[in-house]
Amino acid sequence: MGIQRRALGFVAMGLLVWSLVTTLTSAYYYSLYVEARQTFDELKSLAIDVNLLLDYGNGTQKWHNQTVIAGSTTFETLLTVTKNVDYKSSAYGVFVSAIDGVQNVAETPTSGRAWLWYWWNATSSKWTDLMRASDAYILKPNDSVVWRYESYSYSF
Amino acid sequence: MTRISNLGFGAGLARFYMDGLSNQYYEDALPVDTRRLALLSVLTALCMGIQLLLRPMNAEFTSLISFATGMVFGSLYGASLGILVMFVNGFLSPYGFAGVVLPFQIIGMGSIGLVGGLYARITHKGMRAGAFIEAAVLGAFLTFIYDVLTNVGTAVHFTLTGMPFSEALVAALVSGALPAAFHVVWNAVLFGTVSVPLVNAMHEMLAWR
Repeated sequence: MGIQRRALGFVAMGLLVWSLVTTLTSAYYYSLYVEARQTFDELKSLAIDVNLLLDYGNGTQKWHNQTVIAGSTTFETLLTVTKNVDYKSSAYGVFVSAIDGVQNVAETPTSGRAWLWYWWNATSSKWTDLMRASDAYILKPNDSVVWRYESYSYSF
Repeated sequence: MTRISNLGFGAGLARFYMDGLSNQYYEDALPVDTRRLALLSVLTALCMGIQLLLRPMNAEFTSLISFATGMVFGSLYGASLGILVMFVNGFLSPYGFAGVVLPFQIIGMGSIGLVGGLYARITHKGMRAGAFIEAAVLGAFLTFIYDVLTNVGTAVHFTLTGMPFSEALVAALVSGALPAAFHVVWNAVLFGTVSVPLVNAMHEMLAWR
């Protein structure tokens, strides 16, 4: 009888610890859920739609319309539509050297084919070169940008 | 030769007092006392060494050693070991100064050593083989109490920043839930597997001539 009471006491003790620890753990995960939900709601209010065109220069064009981003640059938006991007970061900004396996090519020291990006100017209805690195321009709601694989040449 | 009782501080204190009254008795008792002292010193050094090591948070052996010391040497020794180790840990821990949580850590670990001595009173001569589960449950329970106490300490720390105590307590308990759960499981496993052979080995070591 004494041993039974003692065993029951230890079982009760074990159940008490188990219930309290699981309750606290559940409360901890609930607090994480509430925090994540708040962050999600905040981000949702910051999210915007943009349009991105990939022009491979051989007639193939892929539109990624109404891509949802939150305060992203042209470069980050590119990464949201394709992970297959080669690039280098430098003090001048990010330089994209390949998208979806299509590499920049230098045919001569001053000419070749490369990925360049343009912003759609709705006022003039033209693709416009903003003359800045793709990670230096933060897109605005309903902006459209194109990454185009095209020939370039320059002279000193 | 009279063997020193394992039934707690009361017996140990009486023996020590008698030692002072009788030289003959003292000489007989000396080797045993030396062994007890040596074992206690080794346990304290071992416990302190492990406690001050950089290790995963709450992966500790202080509770087990305080509890086992309490069982073998008595509540006072178990509690003293726990208090001493946590006091030093409060200043020299690799995680930094414990601050306002320190008194709560001391009380918590001292209680574990104290309960070790009390538990020895109901288990009598060492621990039975069937006591593994009992030890695991007790380890989990004592660890939970320790964690609640230290979380109260954390809540007191939060109140210093102007947070109301009830809010601070809930925040401390909830944010400390995962480390506490790990701690409880760790000590349940440790007490359940190690405490019985450890206490039995310590008893055998002290009885050896």
